[in-house]
Amino acid sequence: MLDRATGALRRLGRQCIGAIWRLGYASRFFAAVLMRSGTSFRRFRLVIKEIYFAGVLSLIIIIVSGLFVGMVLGLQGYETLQRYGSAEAVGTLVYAWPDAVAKAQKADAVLRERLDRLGLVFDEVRTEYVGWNATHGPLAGPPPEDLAEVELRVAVKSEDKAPVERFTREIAPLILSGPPGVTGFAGGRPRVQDIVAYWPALIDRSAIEPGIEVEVVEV
Amino acid sequence: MAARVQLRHLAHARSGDKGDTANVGVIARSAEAYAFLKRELTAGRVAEHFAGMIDGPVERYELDNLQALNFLLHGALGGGGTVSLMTDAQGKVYSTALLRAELEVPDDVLASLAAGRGER
Repeated sequence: MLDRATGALRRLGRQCIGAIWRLGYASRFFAAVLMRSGTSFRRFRLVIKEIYFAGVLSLIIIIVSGLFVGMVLGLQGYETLQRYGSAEAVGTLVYAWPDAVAKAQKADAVLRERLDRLGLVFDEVRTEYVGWNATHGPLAGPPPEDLAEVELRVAVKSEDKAPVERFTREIAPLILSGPPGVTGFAGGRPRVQDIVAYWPALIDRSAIEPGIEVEVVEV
Repeated sequence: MAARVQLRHLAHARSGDKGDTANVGVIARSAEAYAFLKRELTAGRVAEHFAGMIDGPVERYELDNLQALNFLLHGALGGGGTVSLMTDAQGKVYSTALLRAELEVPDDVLASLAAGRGER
């Protein structure tokens, strides 16, 4: 117990002694430099000029090169970050009765054919029919008879933004050139979205300091 | 005697995501239903139900104190979360797909369900 009480004192003492030692070492070094640079004091003006030349004037060079290096870094970094990760887009159209599902399926076929002909390559193209099988997939079975409407939902993703962007412009043409009885496009062209993936992981509980804060605010 | 009944009549279910894994909890409506499900609703049975829809194995955990079974369906969400193109990217309604599963349920288990309804 006495050990613990004196422990803090000993630590403090050690820190003070260390600081003084370092100060002494720096002072001795400085003194040694001064002693050996005696001659420079005879031509003090020249020494000052030299310092000015080597130090102050080169500041301009440092700033200019720094500017250019920074610019290159910025441009390259932007280029990389722009393309970093995948992009996705989702296009939807609502087809109404009669034959809502059949029309929606035909529109999907037309759209995929268009994407093929344009030579667009995606990591994934996913079609779902909201109202029929978007949540249950094959477990939903065949489409119900006489659905009032169904939403064709086509989602694409790619590491390259270009085909995703091009895809977003292929939805609207289906309205006039595809099956009739279509609506639900008032929202306009779908947006290309960057995909930021998250990675759930476990962390050792010893790394967390739990705490509770209570704040009462009068409103 | 038994009847072919959908799981939704024996239990209710909730689900969510853990990355690309759909996490489906099945809560039995009665003690008899739980005993029956513990026996019959195996990880294999669930994997069969979702055949072609998931890319990984199915694991089952038992929560006797809650009369519930927790299933982990790996590779069910097309990458999961922000990466998936599915409508149900976070598996919030994956549970409803499992409730479609049909099982051969003995009469006494069915009877326990009718009895339990009044008390809940």
